[in-house]
Amino acid sequence: MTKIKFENVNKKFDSVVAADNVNLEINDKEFFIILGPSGGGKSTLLNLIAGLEQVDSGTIYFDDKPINDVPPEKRNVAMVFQSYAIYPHMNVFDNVAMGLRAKKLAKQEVKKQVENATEMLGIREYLNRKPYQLSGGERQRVALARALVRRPDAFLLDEPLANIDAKLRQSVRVELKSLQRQFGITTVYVTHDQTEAMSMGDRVALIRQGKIIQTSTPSEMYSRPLNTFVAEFLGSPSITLFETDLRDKDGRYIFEAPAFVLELPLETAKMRNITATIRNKARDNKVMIGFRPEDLAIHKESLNNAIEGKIYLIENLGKESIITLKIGERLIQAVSAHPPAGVHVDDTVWLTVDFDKMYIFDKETQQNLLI
Amino acid sequence: MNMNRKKILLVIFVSFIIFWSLFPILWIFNHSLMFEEELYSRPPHWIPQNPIPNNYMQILGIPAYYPRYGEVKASGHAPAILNGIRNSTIVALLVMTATVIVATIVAYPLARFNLRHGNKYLFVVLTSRTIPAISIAIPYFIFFFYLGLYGTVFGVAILHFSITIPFMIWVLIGYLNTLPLDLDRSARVDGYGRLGVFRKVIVPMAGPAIVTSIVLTFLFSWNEFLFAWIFTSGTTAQTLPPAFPSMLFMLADPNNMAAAVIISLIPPIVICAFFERYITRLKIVGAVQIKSG
Repeated sequence: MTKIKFENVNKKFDSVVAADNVNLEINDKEFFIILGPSGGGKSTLLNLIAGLEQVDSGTIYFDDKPINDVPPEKRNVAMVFQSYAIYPHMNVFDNVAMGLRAKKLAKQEVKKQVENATEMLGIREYLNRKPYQLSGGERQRVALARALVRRPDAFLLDEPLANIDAKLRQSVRVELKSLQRQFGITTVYVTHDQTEAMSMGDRVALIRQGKIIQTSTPSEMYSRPLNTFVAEFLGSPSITLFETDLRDKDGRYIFEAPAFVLELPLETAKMRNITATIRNKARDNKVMIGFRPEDLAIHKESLNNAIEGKIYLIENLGKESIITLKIGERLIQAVSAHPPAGVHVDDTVWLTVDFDKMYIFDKETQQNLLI
Repeated sequence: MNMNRKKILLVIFVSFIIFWSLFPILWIFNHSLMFEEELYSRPPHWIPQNPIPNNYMQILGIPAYYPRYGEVKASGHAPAILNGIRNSTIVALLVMTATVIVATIVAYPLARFNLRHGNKYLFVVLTSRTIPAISIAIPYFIFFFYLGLYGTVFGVAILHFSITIPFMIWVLIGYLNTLPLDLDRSARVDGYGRLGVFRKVIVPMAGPAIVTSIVLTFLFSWNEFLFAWIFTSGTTAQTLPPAFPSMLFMLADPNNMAAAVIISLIPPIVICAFFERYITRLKIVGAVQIKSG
């Protein structure tokens, strides 16, 4: 129904830049995630879409119609706030009916639609309750029902799961995603939680200090991050980056770090391509190499071309273990489904890496050298 | 042990303050139920021995007859008191209504919109409260004299309004600032313009503050003496407070005066008692979750 487009949008609050020349296109019926650290300008983008803030410059379009001058009440978007913003002086029915009454719908129609929406979210029995009589999860459902009942052109969610407990969060995540698919409403979802972004988004925009760093599908962002910031933001536990010097010795490529030396295997064509790329792009041969925790393997016996480290902590999560290792002075994390038996804290172990899944960034520009 | 001693000290202290402020009223109330002879009896009577309603009847202009004293005529001050009650009621209700409506309408944008010079407006509103009342009395006197507002109920109401309005704007802004802004924003997105937000969200939620300003405004206007005295004393628009000093100057019967004072206390007490239950803070709990991050 609605495509949302940002064109060179800028927004400043005093001296804080909240949107820095943002260009963004959100497709119709898309579940679009705006991801980023706190205070990065995520909510501002949402408020700009809702019309609660005005752009300093640039244009926002709904379906190619500029809407800079349209007030929020005329934009037909629905918003769920992190605080839920449920009207405390109204019961659940009146809360959900607010948007419908603004449209001047007939009483019967309002009643029917409110009942449908609350039924769907499992809060129909609470219609006569006041917000202070509801639990956090129920309040959140009221906020969702209030947004859904209006059949808006776009659905804006500002960290809606931040205030509910972890177990409920999981199930609401699934529910939200399926509701969105069912209704086919363009959805913009703001979060600082990369798990939510990875699991729910059709596409994700990662934003920092008002600037969009990368826009892509979650899996692409995970495997092909544009720079170290993106690489470190996605994934839990996060990626391990090492600063290394790349040495080119008699046709062999060696990454030298204070704590270890790794030689790049040149058996495959892919690896040979990589070396060519790096040589072209890296400045002074200083690069950062990165490995996801799941791409590290732990061995008890000494191996060639492996990183020596010490077990610092083993966290058994049931289906997998997070193993924290000390390499030189650094702590890094590896995730392993089957840690080698008989490995204990303070044991010396050897880490082998999956070179096929290695990330290489320029040390100075932090840009990914492999894309 | 220590806690107990603290508690006892606190109770003594509070009792003293209550006695300090209420004793004069109790004493006046005593007088209002006595005849003049009993008032001057020695030792003084802490409780009237033959409580009588005569002083009230006299001051309200009703003659009374008692076998022991014969006929008691209505007080000569009765017209001033009756007139004062009427005028004070009109003024207080006018000021109260106007203040609450105007203050709410003004406080909403000042508290909620990003006005370009919002802080300057607030500053002006605040400083207008720091000017001593007597310094504006003279210019007002001249204006009112030429505008024909001197000695009118409407004139006093305007004067009272000029004092209550900045005060109540501050009370309301202070309260509105405690209400979560997300509620306004949510209502905007739900399809309401600024007026709709005002009507549907702000006014219902500001209930306690509005009731507070109703009570405070009424009390102020009912009790206000200086302007009322300067602008109405000796005219048909004289309110209740200026009636008391003129009784004093004219050496009225002290028991009659006591009755008049007690009568003047009734409306404030009724207003306070009636609105007290609405001043409990609205349950904002549940409107917004506390941010966990």
